[in-house]
Amino acid sequence: MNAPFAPTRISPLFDEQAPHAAKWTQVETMQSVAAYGSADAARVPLAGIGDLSFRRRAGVKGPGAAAWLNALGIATPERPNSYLRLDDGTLVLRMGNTEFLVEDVAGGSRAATMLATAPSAGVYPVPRYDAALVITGRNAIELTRQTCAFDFASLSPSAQALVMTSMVGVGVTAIALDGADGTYFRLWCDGTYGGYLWATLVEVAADLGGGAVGLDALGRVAQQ
Amino acid sequence: MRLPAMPDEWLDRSRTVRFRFEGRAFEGVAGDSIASALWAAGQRTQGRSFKYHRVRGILSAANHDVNVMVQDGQKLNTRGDVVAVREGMDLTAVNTFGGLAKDRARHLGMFARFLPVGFYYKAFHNKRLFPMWERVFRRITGLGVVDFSTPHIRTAKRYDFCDVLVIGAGPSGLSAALSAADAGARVVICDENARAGGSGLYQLGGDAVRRQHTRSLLDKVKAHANIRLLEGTYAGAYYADQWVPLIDADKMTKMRAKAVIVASGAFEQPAVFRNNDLPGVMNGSAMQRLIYRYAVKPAGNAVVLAANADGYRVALDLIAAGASVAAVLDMRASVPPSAQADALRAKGVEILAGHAVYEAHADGKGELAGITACRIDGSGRVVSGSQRRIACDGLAMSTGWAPAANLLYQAGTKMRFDELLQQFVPDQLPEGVFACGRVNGVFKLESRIADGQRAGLAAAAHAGHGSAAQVDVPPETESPSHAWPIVAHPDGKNFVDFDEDLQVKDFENAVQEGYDNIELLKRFSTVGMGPSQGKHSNMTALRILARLTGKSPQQVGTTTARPFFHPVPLSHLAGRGFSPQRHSPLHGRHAALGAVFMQAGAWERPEYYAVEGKSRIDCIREEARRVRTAVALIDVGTLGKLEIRGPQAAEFLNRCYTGRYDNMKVGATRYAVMCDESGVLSDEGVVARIAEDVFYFTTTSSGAATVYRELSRLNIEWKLDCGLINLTGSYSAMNLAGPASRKVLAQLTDMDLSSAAFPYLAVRSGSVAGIPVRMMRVGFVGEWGYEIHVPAEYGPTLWDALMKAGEGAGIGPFGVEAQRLLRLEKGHLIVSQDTDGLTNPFEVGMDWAVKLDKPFFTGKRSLQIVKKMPLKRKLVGFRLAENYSGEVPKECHLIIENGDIAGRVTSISWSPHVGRYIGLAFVLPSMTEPGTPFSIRITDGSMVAAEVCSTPFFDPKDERQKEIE
Amino acid sequence: MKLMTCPMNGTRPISEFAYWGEIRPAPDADTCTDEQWADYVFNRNGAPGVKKEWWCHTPSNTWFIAERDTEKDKVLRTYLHGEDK
Repeated sequence: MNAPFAPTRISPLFDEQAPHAAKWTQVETMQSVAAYGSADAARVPLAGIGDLSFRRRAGVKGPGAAAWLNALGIATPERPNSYLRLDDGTLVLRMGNTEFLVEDVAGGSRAATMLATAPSAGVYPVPRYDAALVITGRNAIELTRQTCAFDFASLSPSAQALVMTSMVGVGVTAIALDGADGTYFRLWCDGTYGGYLWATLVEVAADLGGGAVGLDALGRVAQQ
Repeated sequence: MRLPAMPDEWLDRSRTVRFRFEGRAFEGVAGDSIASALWAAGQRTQGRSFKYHRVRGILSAANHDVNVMVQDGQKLNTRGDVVAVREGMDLTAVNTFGGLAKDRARHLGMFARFLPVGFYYKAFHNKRLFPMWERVFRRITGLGVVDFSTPHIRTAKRYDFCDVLVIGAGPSGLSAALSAADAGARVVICDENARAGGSGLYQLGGDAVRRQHTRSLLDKVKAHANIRLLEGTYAGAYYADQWVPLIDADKMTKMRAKAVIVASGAFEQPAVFRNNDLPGVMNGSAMQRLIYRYAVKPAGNAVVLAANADGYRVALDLIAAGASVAAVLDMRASVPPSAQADALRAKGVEILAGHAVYEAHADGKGELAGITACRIDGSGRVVSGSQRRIACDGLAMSTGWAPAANLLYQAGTKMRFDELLQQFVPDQLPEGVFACGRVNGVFKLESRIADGQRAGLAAAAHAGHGSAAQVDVPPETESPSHAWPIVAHPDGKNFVDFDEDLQVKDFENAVQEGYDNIELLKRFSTVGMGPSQGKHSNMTALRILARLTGKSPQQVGTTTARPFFHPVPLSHLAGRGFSPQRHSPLHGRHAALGAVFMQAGAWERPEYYAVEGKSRIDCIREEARRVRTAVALIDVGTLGKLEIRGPQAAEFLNRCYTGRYDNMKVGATRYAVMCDESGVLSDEGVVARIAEDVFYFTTTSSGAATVYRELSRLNIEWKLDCGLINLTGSYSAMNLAGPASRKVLAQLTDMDLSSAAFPYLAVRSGSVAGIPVRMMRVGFVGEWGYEIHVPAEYGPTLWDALMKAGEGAGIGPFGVEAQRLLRLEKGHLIVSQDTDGLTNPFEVGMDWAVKLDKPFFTGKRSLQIVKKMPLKRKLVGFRLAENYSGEVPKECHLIIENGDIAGRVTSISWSPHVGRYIGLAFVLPSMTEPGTPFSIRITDGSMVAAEVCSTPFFDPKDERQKEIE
Repeated sequence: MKLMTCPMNGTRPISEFAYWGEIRPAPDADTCTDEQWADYVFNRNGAPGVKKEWWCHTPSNTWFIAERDTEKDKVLRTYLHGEDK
């Protein structure tokens, strides 16, 4: 049993998505929905709900966490509750003061490096198997208006701010990014609440001309 | 009668609207309200009053009264004053028996003497007759008929944000919005009316220049980049920290502002005289709304009853609309000089100072045909013999106002009664709340605009934009409200509250009966408790009470204003419900295997797996049998899973739990009990030592979130060198249990599973089916088994691999109910099933888990005290008689001994492996010896015999965990 | 709905918070009498006034201290433990 073997990763949103998915793909050994149907493309610019759970992720917290990450060549944001992007596209979120989430783009290995490196004093690894969603479209703000008491219009991509708040009763971490088609939002939440969050946002998005969208329709948003 | 086009009319004359009212066809114009369309068509009688069923017409035209309440198909509570006519509408007046015209209840007025205020508190005490009376009341006091097939609609609620919220888009509100926006604030201004402008666009006195003031403010507001204007939207209430629900036709928006400006204006109060409720008698502002919004002529020949400058403008507006004004009766002793008074005299209108309306007279249809005017003296008393008849078909009442201060009251504003203005004005506004315009006691138009500017600048400054500037707002020189707009009449029918048919003598009677304070008066008389909630009546009631008790209005005070300002549809309140649901990563696998789910806190868990042709109880027993005889798999992923890491991790656990963990070997697990500060059992789980400075421990499913949160807080206080990580949602966990479990697992892993290498209660890390795992041999269900923990994203893959590997051994899934049976057979308690909010560890036989020799742990001091006290109860195992076939006791059935409660059942179940009903129960300490008989009282009062027995019931020596050669 | 300001995450509606209770100094468990300990465990001060309380911003698990005037229903200030300046 010691042949290099990568067991299939299952997205926390799989159960909610499977009945509606039309086309599948495998990214980072996770089965992911490539397309729900021909309506995907029209939904993205209005209110698209996508799943980026396939990305590799690792977390760490503690008084020594920032220095430990820096020693691994991972720069960390200067301010609490903010994020930055490394040159290779890796996202580094600073949640609160001393907790960090590092998320690879497809093919990246920062998370693997973190998992393979022993923590030093004051460094506490936090395994992250989040549901990672993306909300696109010009009705994205209205969607957040109907689901969250935090003003998402105040999250500007240029400020690279990060917010931890409650959306439809679920704790989420959110950031705003600039895309080719305007501002879009990334959300992370506990995977066991992920299915409920996904289904609820898809239902609200449907009222706004949007809905679930696969990786194909997301295009660059899924890759960058 | 319809007038030619008015400059700001709400009508779209190109669209006719056909509708029905009371079975007759009518035609209105798009933009008409129901009331205005009916009035234009000559239908003046538009409703019947609540108690006496008197005919009623338009009173306020502003939804400050419900004279015109109709039913629109399934839609109830339809306010004719403000609801627009719609093609095809089919309307009926509410509260009639046999229709509006021939309402059979119209004769009730004759019995008025027997229906005084509060009569229902005294008339229906006969118990035998009350069921009949109740049926009568339900028939005659409704305001509409519910259609139970009305669809249940939900409209999505939404949040919104701004710097300054302005409530009311009249002259002062518009001015405030502009000042705030110019200072840089993001402004939202809302108005309940279909179009903004408020009284600035109808209290004109025929003066186009006056109208222009408001018109230009409105144009600027509409063009301003920083202002959002929401018409047809009312502010329903004021909630803490500037949170205001905005209600429109489709939805509710929960607006959070940094500053709120209340510019809501004032409610015109009807004057009080005999028959002041005849169709044709209405507020002066109602006539102006009819003229300027709907281009409807309110009357042909009118009388104006005035006590302020507004009344004179009403008279001029009537003349501009082509009506004649027979007279202006001014209740004040002398008429202040004004351009409006001069203009009226120049048109030949008689102005009579010191005059009032004594009585209004009806024609054959019950509608206004004339009035009797009279002189009044300085105290408001009628000068006898001064009565004089004047024919008219319209009477405008312009004698006073009450501030629309509901939201100011809800925000906690302290109000003060101003003697000159004769109204309450804000005295101390809470932080972040501002007021301007008539609600602030400012009535002259130029002053209102200045007052708005002042409030707008102050609000913007509060929200962090610009600074509050000194703005000159000249004080009012003339009172807008008469102190006593009430004329006594021996025959009564001088109405104060039109919703509830309350006349002046009703208040006199109430006070005479002792209900002489505003709260009691309200509840006894029901003033202000009708659908308009006192908008047109509370101020007048207050004046009457003040005079009757010799107090000032300030001393009398007001009753509490509560949400909502206008009715809010249930669809808006229901919204889209959000109830978070938690699913384990294996949820889809359970569903595919036929799981019947149950709610366990926020989680959905498989209660059992349904099998075709098998009953629920048989499925559960079969699942349990499979665990004891072969191998089965259960999802335990809902368990709380925490990790503590660092040099002082063991010390941390020692403080949180009652046991000792610093002396655990790496690779061992230990049961853990947590108590709160009072020594009560609060949670339990298993601690596994993964490394010298790494512990992985579990909590109950329902306790996971709170335990993590509280432990985080404790470490902030204790500052131990360790870190706490919550893995509850990150890890999936499943228990492979049964005699064949080792054989099945061995197919998927290279790990040494021998009992020497992996003994009972050990924890090991390794890899199963290529997936990194943490496994523990635990004893909850009492069979050889492995509790396997993996990262959540590998959960389903591992489940599939185990189910496949176990096929040959007859593997199947088992659910929560089967697990509960299996653990009961081993005598294991479940926290908050077999324990309650007062249970300490000594009551449940966990003395061994409590290490009182530790220097500190949460609850230690309390447990030291408790240990010295005699036990009041103990948890024991019990069983019912062999072959018992009667009704089975349930959890929480009581144990009765010598007629007293001696305990209760906490768990009970049929055990196939023991062959009897077994359970756990609290009993008196004197009853704990195995073999002690006792009785359980079940629901119908009969007693079931049981006896105490030792636990575990099954495999008492845990042989199943030992290697079997 | 009332607002509360988390020192780390900013001002949010109170629904994002959990209230733990008033911070009360515990008597020395080793030297106090049983009565003194029971009073600490079971009794609370109900008189209105300014109270120091533990609060938690639940989406971020941030614990902090709020000084709250329970008579005026006003939160005077909030700060992280140890950052009381």
